[in-house]
Amino acid sequence: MVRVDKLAKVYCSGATRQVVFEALSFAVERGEVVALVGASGSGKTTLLNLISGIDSPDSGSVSLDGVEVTALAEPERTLLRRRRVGFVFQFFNLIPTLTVGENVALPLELLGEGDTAAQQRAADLLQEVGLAGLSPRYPETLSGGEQQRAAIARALAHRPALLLADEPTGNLDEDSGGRIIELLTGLARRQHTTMLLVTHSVHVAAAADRVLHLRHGCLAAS
Amino acid sequence: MGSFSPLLLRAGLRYLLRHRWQALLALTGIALGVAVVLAVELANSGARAAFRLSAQQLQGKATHRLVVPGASLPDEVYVRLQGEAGGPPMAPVASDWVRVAGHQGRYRLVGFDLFAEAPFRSQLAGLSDAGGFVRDWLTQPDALVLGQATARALAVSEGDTLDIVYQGRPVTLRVLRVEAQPGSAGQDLLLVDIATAKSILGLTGRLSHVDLILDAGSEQWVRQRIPHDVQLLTVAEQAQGVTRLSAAFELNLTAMSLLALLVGMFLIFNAMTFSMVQRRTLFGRLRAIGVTPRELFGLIMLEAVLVAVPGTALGMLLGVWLGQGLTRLVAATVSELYYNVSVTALHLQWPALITAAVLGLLATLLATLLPALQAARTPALTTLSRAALEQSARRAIPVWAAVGLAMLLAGLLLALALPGGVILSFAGLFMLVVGAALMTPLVIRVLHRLLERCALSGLWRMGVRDLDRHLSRLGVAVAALMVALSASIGVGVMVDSMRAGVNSWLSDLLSADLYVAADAFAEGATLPAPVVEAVSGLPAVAAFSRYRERTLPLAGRQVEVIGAQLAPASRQGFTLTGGGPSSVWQDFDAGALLVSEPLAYHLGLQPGARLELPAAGRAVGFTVAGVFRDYASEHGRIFMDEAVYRQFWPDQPVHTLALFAGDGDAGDMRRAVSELAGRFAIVITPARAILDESMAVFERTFRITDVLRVLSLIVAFIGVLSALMALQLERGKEYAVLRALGLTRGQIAGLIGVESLLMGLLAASVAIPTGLLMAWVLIESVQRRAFGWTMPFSVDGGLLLQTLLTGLLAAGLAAIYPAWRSAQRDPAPQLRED
Repeated sequence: MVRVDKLAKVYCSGATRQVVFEALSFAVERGEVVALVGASGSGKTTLLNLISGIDSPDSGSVSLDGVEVTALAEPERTLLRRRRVGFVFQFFNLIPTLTVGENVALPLELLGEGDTAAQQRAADLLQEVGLAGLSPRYPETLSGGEQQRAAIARALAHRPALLLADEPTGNLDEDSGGRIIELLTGLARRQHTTMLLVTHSVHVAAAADRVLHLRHGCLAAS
Repeated sequence: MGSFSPLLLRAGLRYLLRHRWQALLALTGIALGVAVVLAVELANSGARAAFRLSAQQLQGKATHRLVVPGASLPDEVYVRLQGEAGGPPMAPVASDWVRVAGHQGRYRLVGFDLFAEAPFRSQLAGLSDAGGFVRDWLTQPDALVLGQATARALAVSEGDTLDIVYQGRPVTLRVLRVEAQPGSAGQDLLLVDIATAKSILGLTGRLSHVDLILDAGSEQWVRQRIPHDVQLLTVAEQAQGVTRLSAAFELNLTAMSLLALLVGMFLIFNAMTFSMVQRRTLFGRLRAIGVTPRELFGLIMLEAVLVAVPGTALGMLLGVWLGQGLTRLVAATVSELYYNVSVTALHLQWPALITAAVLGLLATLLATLLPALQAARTPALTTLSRAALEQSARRAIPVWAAVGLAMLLAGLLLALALPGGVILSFAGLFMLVVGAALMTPLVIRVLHRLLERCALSGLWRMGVRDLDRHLSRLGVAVAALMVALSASIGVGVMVDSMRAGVNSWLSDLLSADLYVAADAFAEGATLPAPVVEAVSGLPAVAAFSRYRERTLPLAGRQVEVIGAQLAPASRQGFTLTGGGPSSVWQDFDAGALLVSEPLAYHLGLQPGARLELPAAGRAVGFTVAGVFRDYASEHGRIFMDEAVYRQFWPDQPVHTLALFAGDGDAGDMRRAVSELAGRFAIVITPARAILDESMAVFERTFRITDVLRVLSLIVAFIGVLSALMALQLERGKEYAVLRALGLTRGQIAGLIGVESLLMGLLAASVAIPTGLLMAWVLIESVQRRAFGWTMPFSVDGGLLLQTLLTGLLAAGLAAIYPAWRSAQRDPAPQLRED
């Protein structure tokens, strides 16, 4: 499903050169839930951005279902993201000027899905994540945990092949975090969605099928 | 934008509603920009239309006119032409400007032959005969017909009398009929029978002109039959000189209104840039979930349209309202200086409304284009990082500055070095302003570094740092304020320079102790020969100059030709800009001409050049002795020696006498002349009084410019206010953290105040050199190319100080509400916010 091959990324700031990784390779199978663990600054988020096509590598390649993401032009990468990728961020990143229901329906609408179908799908997903009555509310009126549930519903709304979750519990307390991970992995598995989960929490990583450790630009499985 | 997501659009609309202050300020910016342009255009076109209407009412269906340049036409020319068979339709007219007792402005007394009018002016020929009108018209020597608007303005109705004054002579007319004229904006026509007009105007046996309706064949017919001193002109040729009267006035107004629009555009650019910057996280989120740059660009442009449409509509309403006020000002000034214009002359003209609507929409879209492209093109990752945004803004500063410098230099080159007309001068001027605006962020950085070196403490240090830290947001606001302030300086210095030029020119020119003219000199009255002899022969008069004037058509202009016998002191009053003084006066005495700067510029005349004048019915060649600085007429003036002048116009009486007391007592001379004034209808004016009155007229002319300067500053003030409001909204959390760290409400307000004052200071610092450059272009290029005037570059330190204080005041006032609001907000919810 996801194939990362000899991926290299270097950040340059003036004369300073920071190598994030030089020849990173790994693969994630369809429907697999993989946790990516590493210290702050180890390049976990950068890796997610490269896989989703938000960022470009200096060398190497990333493929999604055989499509080489790194060979695509920016607009095509955006459309690939729209169709095949779902995102869950640490800071929820809901659109503040759309209601919870509209936030969840947005990816479907961007794909040209009809209004009624999109709303129905959004309602079903909100029911599934336990936010059934909160559809007309705006994000800022929800608690952190509720916002992250809404973000999960949005990420899964268009049935993406790949779900990327960047520290989804990083902004939540332990209990809420635990429930969110349970929900996220449960939904992903039910939908047969491949998931790459970035975390520095051992407990969160324990929910994954496989854990990859990113250290000094290299991966190690555990 | 075809596959535009309604949800995205909804998100954009809700953003506007949530940030309604910001949306309102952007809307206000557009509205004010559009309003000022429309108001000025309506006022200008109202005055123009009123004059055109008045001319059209007079001209009717006439295609040509028979005239004698600078004189009246003998009756027999008309009688002979009319007597021949096969001639075209023709109608005699006797007309001139008169004053109405108790009313300001000039009115056009027009005498026409009712029986010859049918083909020309159907509304005159068609005056109904109800109540024996035709009989009364022909038999009552004082019968007058007025339009309704004119009657209203003069507060008369049918049967009332009206006292008019022609060349000092009072004449009483009786209103026979008040006609409902269609389009009676030209409120200056007093219609009488041709015999009445000839009697009042002293045109015994003569006519002002003859109107004709000609085709190609009949034109030839007429040309073959007219004497050599009579000219056959098209009505367009004849009107050309007159309609140029207020060109200088209009040009200054238009320049100011365009500058206001430019400031308005900066304001929109400022508002839209802010909107983009504030939403960078939102855009990042949208980009991350798959919204394409194109969709994002479409969303932003659509939002711009949504702001532009109501903003433009509001601006148009405001413009019409403002236009009424400006029309009053323009009408008052034009009536005072040129011809009588109704204060109700405002006409909603479609071209003006359409131009304003297109300008508002285009200006908004143009101002949004760059921020929209930037927002759409930024990769998702960078959009999510605020530090990266500031970093990229900083990286762009030298590039913008280089582009700005190139534009500024190109603008100067276009306006000052390359040949071209006044349009190119304005293009250069706008390039200069935009170039300076693009350089503003770099100047902010440089000044920021200088300020950082000062040992500032507390809030000032934080304010200085914040200014640099938020350069991407504040740079545009400072640039907008800078543009408004520089426009104010540019126009202010230009007006000051004109004032200084006119003052010095008048002071030099009015070198005599006393000036004597006929009592009704304003209506063209002249001094009878016995008066001239008596006054100039007085023992107290050590020297005198005599002036005889007439207007001649020359290259589409109405040029004043003055035959002068000049005393040595009068000669010293001429500032010669072309030709050496000694040779110029030698040549002048030998019959050569002195040509005013505007005429010399437009006809490309240098000393030694030949100029042909229509004199005594033929073209007579003269040599140009020299060119003199002159602001009396943008059409041009020509001085020639009195002896030469009288060869061509021997009957032209003296208009003015300039008297010099020499070493004697000017008081004695004044007393002696005053004694004569008892016997003759003359007016004695000291040079000082003429100077004061002329300068008062000057001030009245530029009163409207001050109004427009204030409007531009209001637009800029809104720019700073919107910038501060937006910044305050964005930095809510930062202020909350500062509050949590122990800063008082007062200190938060103080911090915002300091930042704002620094913005004002920086804007004024850049505005001063930019404004001076603008003034240079306005004086050396715009005024020169439009009117041929040169003037000394006169900078009043007070104006620069006033600009600095205005910048600080605008910025200080703009900070009040944001500072109050930030200080009042409860920090706790903001600290909790995502």
